[in-house]
Formats: sequence, structure tokens, C-alpha cells
Amino acid sequence: MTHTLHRYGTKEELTTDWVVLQLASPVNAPGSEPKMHRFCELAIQNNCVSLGGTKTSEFLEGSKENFMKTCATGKDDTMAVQATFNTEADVAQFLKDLKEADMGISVVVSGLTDNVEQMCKSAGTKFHSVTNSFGIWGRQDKIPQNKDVLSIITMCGHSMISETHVLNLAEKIKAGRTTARKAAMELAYDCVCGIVNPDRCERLLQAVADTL
Amino acid sequence: MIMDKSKCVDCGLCIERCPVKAIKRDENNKVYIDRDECVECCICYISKCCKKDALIKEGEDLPWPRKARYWMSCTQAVFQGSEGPGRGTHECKTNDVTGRYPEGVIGIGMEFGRPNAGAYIFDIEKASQRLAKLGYITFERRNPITMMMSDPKTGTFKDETLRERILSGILEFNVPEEKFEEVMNVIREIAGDIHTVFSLMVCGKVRADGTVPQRAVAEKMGIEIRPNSKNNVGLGRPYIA
Repeated sequence: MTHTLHRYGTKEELTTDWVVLQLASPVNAPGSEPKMHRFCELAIQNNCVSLGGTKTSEFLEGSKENFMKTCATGKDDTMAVQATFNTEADVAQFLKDLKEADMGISVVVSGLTDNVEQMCKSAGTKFHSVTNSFGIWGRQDKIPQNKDVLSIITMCGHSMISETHVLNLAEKIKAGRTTARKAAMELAYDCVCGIVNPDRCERLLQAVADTL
Repeated sequence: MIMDKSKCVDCGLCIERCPVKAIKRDENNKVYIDRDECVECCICYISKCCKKDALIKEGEDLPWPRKARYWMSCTQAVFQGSEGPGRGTHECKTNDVTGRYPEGVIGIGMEFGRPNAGAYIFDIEKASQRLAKLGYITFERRNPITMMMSDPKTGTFKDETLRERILSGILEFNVPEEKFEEVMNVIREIAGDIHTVFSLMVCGKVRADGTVPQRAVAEKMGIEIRPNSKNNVGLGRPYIA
């Protein structure tokens, strides 16, 4: 499970894309369901733009209240939940809230290393372990050559978003047959874990469309 | 995946959904699934892109060894014996409560086929056999890829799986810190000798001085580390320091 690690993008662009995960292990999974639910509540309060479990994903498309209702009925995960954010400030506050909630379940913050380290200091916690991406090795000709397309497809850690689909949607945006927002949501729902950031996806899709 | 041609109208909407380009048009412009290239990820079916219900998901009903494709590609599949949905394990994500990677040990995950290139098991075996020859590599037993091996000590896979194509699979193992550079040299050789890509994950426990063991070796070897990482922030209990 390394699905949030290999998100491609420039350092500047990744300042708008953060994922926080909460995962139970066999030693603390019993009774973890309300803790997973609490994680979702706190994530929504702190302006997450998507939420996912191991079976379903939800995206912020209306009010926070409606988002909360959708998630309350949709989440029955006891093992893992994850939330995606647009800003460093929201993640920093979310991390403080998680520290204060003291639920005893492992939390992982996926994003720019130096910035996450600073967030930890502010929240009164610190890195226990770090997982680095050493990039993509081997036949580089087998992956999308357009860096914005690569950035979009690597947001789904299970590789469920196809390059062809991204390029076709970009063509439709350029032709005025859909909007970048609608296209982004179409792609985001192909990722069952809910870790595709729809706002970042929208910007990247528009960028791809602009180059066609 | 199977396509019911009595229902299919050859609109081609499913073609764009396939991450490994296994849905194609033939010389008569008819749409078909290339069964050799299909990895059974089922996203064409899950996305409900077909308005004629012409796509049939076999999923759990697939026979072995083709079922290996489904297990390693479809997000709805759970490989029996693994830690849950997904293609690997929790690795460092729960290290604060499992202590799986203590100081002095580095975890490595080579995810073959990712992003979106797909991989045949024989490519993964090429890597696992070469790594096994080092003599100190133990492949993670809870990882579904290891479970497909007939002999994890030599990195040999069950013969019948070798021609199976999957969306991605993670070769997961630990190495002693002092052997990391040697292993990275072997990984470099593997990268030049396979027909696909792999995304490389390296994890380690943070030392008392705040550093991680993998960074210094990467810098010494001129390997670029991506600026974004996945960080266990130590909120799990019972906490293993």
C-alpha cells in the first residue's frame, strides 16, 4: 500500500495537494470504527476536499453539512480512512486536532517532507518513520510523456485512471463540450480510495487542454 | 473481462477507460478486449461507461492462474492472506505500533507496472531472483506477490503465473542498513533489464538525531529523492519507540 507516495508534480504544485491517512493495525483495530468516523468528522471540519475508505470515496461537491451526512452513511471502515486537502494550513490544523483527539491509531501525512515536518512541530508530534519515493525506474517510454498527465494519473495510487481518458477529456474541454470541473470529477470517481484531489485535477486538466 | 458482442455497439467508450490499452478496435473497426493484455482491473465495468451492459466482469469466478491478474489489479479484490485491500502491506504506515522497521533496517518496495504500464510476472521474477542471489533478502511473506512465489528463498514464482499480466505488484523486502548501497546497485541493474517500469519506495525509522538512513546513501549515489514523502507521525498506540 504505497498509493499516496508516488504523486508526481513540481514542488510548487504539490503545495496544493496533501493526503492524511489513519490506519489501524491488528493490535489496535478492535473498536476502531468510531475513531475512523471521528477522523472523517475532523477532516471535514478542516476543509478536506475528498474522503475515502477501503471501499468507497466521497468528494466535497456541496456544503460541508451535506458532505458530513454522506460520509456518515457511507463509511463502515475499521482499517483505513484517508482525506485529501488543498492547503498546508488546513492539514496543520487537522494534525493538531488529531493529536488532541488522541485516538491511538497510526496517522500518516503524505506531502512535501519539509512542510510536513514543520506541521508536526506545530502540532507537538514528530516523525516516527519516513517513506521516500525514489521515483520511476525502468522503461520511461512506457509512461505518459506529458508531465501534467503523469501528475493526474499518479494521484490514483492503484493506476485506475487511464492516459487515454485524460487526453480525451482534455480534448472535450478544449472543444467546450465539458468543463474542467466536470471532467475532474469524472476522473476522481474512478479512484475508489478517494485520494484524487479534484481541485488539483481540475487545474491540471485545464493545463493539458490549453496545450492541445 | 469479457465483452458480450451481441450487446456491444462498438461505440468505443470503454477503450478510453482502460489504463493498459487492452481494449482495441480490429481491422473492421469492431471493439474487442485483448485477453493477453487485459489485467482484469475491471475499471471499464466499475466505471459503468458501457450503456449497453456489454461488459462482463468475471472477477472472483476467474480460474487460477488468471485470477492473479484480478487480485493484483482490481481495487475490489482482496487477496486471501494479505492485510486487506491493496497490493502490498501497511509497511511503514503502522510502524509506530508494529515496529516492523526498527533502526538499522530499511524497507524497500519495488512496484512493478506502476504507473499504468502493467507488468508480467516474469519481469518481477527477473528482479526477485537477482535480489535473492544476494543471500540476505527476505521477501515480505504477507505480500500477495511473495505468496505467488514457489520458492521465496530464490525469488522463483510458480510457473503457471509467469505469463500473467497485472496492473502492478510490489516486491517488498527489508535490508540491513549497511547493505542498502549494494542493493541499490542491483536495483539499478534491474531497471536496465526489464520491459516495464517500477516505482521505488524506500522507508526507514527516524533516528534520534532526526535523520533517516536512506537519504545519505541516495545522495552519495546521486539518486534523486522526490520532495514529497509519506510520514508516520507517531500517533499510534501502543507506541513502539
